Amino acid sequence: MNPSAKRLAWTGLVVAGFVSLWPSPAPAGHEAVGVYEDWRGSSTLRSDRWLVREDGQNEEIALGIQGHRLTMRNRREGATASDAGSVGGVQALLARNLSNIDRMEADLRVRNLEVSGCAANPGQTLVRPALLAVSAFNDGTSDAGQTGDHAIQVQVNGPIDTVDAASVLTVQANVVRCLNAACTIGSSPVFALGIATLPISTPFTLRAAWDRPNHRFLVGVNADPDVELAYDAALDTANARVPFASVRTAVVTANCTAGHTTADVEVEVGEVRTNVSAIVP
Amino acid sequence: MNTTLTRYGTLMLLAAILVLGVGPVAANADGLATYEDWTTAATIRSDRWVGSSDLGHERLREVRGGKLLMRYRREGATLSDVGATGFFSNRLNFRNPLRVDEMEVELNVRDVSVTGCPANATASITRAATVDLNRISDLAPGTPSAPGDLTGDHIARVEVRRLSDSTDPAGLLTVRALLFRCENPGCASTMLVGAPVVLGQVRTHRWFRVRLIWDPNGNEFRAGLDDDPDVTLPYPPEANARPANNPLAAIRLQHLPANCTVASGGPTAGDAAIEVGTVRTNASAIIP
Repeated sequence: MNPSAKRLAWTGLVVAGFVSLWPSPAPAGHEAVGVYEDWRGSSTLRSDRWLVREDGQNEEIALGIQGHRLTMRNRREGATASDAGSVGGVQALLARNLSNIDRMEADLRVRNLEVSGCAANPGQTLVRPALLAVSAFNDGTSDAGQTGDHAIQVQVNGPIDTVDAASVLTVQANVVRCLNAACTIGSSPVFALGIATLPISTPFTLRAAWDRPNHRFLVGVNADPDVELAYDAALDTANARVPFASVRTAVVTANCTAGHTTADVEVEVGEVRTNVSAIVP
Repeated sequence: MNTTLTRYGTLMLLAAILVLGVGPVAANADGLATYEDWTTAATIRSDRWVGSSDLGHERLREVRGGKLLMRYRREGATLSDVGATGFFSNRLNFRNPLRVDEMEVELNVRDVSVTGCPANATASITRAATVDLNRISDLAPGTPSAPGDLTGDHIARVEVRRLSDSTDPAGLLTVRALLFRCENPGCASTMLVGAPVVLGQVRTHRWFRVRLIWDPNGNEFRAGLDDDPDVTLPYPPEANARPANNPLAAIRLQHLPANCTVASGGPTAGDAAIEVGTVRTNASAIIP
């Protein structure tokens, strides 16, 4: 865990309410977890459960239910006017819950991943096949909007600049503090790197939970033990002003005069589970 | 790792519709050349196109088999049985709209559905496709205008639409041409310039072509369907006081789902899927 502040890519969101299904055991002191969505009850997205948002600039995008799975894809090409900087595109699946999701799990599989970077602007072309995020509290900042809101984010990082047979996914977690009203930028005062390393094509499960009484977040991958991210209890002065829970895919492409860079990711979202009180029947 | 993702979230909400003269003219677009036939790359080319979409549900913008496939589905709000929350789009914008004076697009509506609300007098609207061109503004030169502010811009449009209260046979859509002025920065409020002109009707699973041409010397836009004669969408000369503040040339799917409480049968939904074939423009707009 590193206390130094870290600016992150982060997009703000919004959401609504819910109810129950098959509860599963939860750690002592936590509400049980049940199935929020298994993509079987409807051939299309249910607007009482989900809202979808596209941010940034993607040329290609796809989001739809196929065979009891949700497929999410976004692809973008980088600009060619310079060899500095980068631009991103995001697709977000937002649970429509205004306040009561404090635990979320998602079964995921990367169906396709392409990255082609720039020799003159290295290290900036990448995909993030999945970012699982749940909002938590506000630190009392008086500014409007999301400023001061804190959220837990579990982030799956794909290879940078190129992908080959040796490429893997790495997982990290960040406690994100929104730095402006729309939370387009954030800092990460607490984070944990190296939570897991995963083969690209193997299905995996991400989870994130807010343990408010103990001033910490718990995150994990598959059946691995939880990783704790503790925060200063004094920061939790109120509920987050803009509560949300989301699964996102993101791509970032470096600018490159030698030719456009490319980042493309397609992910399958399986079952999504939350604390049971958040489930919409 | 530092990453800043550009946020891009402008909803184009277009409410009213209307106004001016309509007169058949003889000429179709001459000199059009192929801007895009979806065969020079396996994916959408970023040097030619910019994509974006609004809050909604299912969406698609992909090249497959030498065609562009687009889909957009949006359910309506369930908090009331009055009105609608707004228009929501999935769009593909031309990279350099200021170069586009003329455009012709081959379209095939693969699927369309739009449901209304029995308790709401407002019909849901689904635009399976629109072709939009925004080149002029009536704001006086020198009037400050923030980047992206559409106030005063005039958008010419050919739209392929179906309403939830339509009595037309299933799978039939109406093609209209219209010109409207944006009344606020996001163009959520609009004023028609002249009356919309019905160009004809099209069926799902049939290819057709729509056309939109700007004639600055004649103070008009012209619009057409297939080989039919173009109709004119004239505007007063003062409407072209300066270039559009937020110029655009775009192909989009757009929905206005009526609000409908669950008790009244809500939510409503608009859903459309289209194939886009060859896109032609004036030759000077082409990006090789």
